[in-house]
Amino acid sequence: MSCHELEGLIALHVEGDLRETERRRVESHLRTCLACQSLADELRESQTIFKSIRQDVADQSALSSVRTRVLVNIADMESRSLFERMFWGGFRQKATFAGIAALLVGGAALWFSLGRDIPSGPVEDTVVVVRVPMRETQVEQVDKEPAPSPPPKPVVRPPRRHRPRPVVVPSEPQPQVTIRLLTDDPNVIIYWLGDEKGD
Amino acid sequence: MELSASQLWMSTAREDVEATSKLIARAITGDRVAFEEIVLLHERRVLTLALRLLGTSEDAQDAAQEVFLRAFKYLRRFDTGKPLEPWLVSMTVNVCRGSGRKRSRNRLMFIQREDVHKVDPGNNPYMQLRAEEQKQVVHDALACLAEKERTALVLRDLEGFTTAEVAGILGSAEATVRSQISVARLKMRKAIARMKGGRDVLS
Repeated sequence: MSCHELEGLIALHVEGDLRETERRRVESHLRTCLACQSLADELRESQTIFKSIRQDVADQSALSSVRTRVLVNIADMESRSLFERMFWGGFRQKATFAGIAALLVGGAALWFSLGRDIPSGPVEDTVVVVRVPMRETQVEQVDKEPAPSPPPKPVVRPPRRHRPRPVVVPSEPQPQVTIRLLTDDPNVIIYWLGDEKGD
Repeated sequence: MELSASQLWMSTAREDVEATSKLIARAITGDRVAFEEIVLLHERRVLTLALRLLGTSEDAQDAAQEVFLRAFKYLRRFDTGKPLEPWLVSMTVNVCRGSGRKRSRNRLMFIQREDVHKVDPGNNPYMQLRAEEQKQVVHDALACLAEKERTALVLRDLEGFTTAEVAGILGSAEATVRSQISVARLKMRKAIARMKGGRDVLS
């Protein structure tokens, strides 16, 4: 190994940073090479000079300045985190609870609306009264109860209901009343055809 | 035989760990006085290391402040069974690396002499002047190193960590760190020799 290649190892050797095998090799080379001995001496001297700055430590005023700044910053951080806990933290918690409550209420409303729309029991019968006039058949459908208001656009469509066909019950023929109204104009005669009811 | 930083720590670690863990436990619960005690115990090492790595007092103070604020923030994650100082040193290195990347290399004017507490070398004015000159040479030479080389060298030769410990702090392979330290020492030798020679010629 050449002197140039050993330079790095000599730089480690002067501070005892070599392993045993490397140390032996460097020391045997140093015994025979004056140039490397000179390098080792220079390195020892420069290391001594370099290490002399170990005595220099930070100034007391600089230490006080750093300490003060650190403590002021920590106080600031703590007051900020307290503010966040009081306002932002509380707000976040409240918002979470409000969101959960809104979801529950919405879900309950949806469940009730769907539950009312889908009949669980048998469909109630509808009574239909049909009057049959002389010429045209008028069908009038009267429910026992008023029809429920349509659901407010449910997300899930209920199964389709089959409307019961109206049962046509022919009513008994009733005597017809004809009222003839005469006007001033002899060409205009008004006829009023009606059913007789009661008296 | 010189003791490594970890060996020195190990001797004081056991009694310190318990006291530190109590302080940490108090600091976590919001005891600001306890955290101030932690800062007082470690501020000198953190700021001095930052000063050695960054070069200027302003940057070093910013870095030290950031280290302690991070420590406060992540104190809950710290394993109280271990000594606190290596954790803070590792954090200091990381903060200094981050802040070093932000700065332009031209700005690196190594340690301003008024920012460090000078140890009196004696009453001899000549010796004082010589010691000051020598330190200035070292700081200038250190400023010429690449960031990784400077960090590895400072941790090994000034902070007293072993090569394996430096590798652990930097998150590098030990062989890489050895190479960086070796290159840095050779560069320092050249820089110190050149500067000394230049000054000798000038004088």
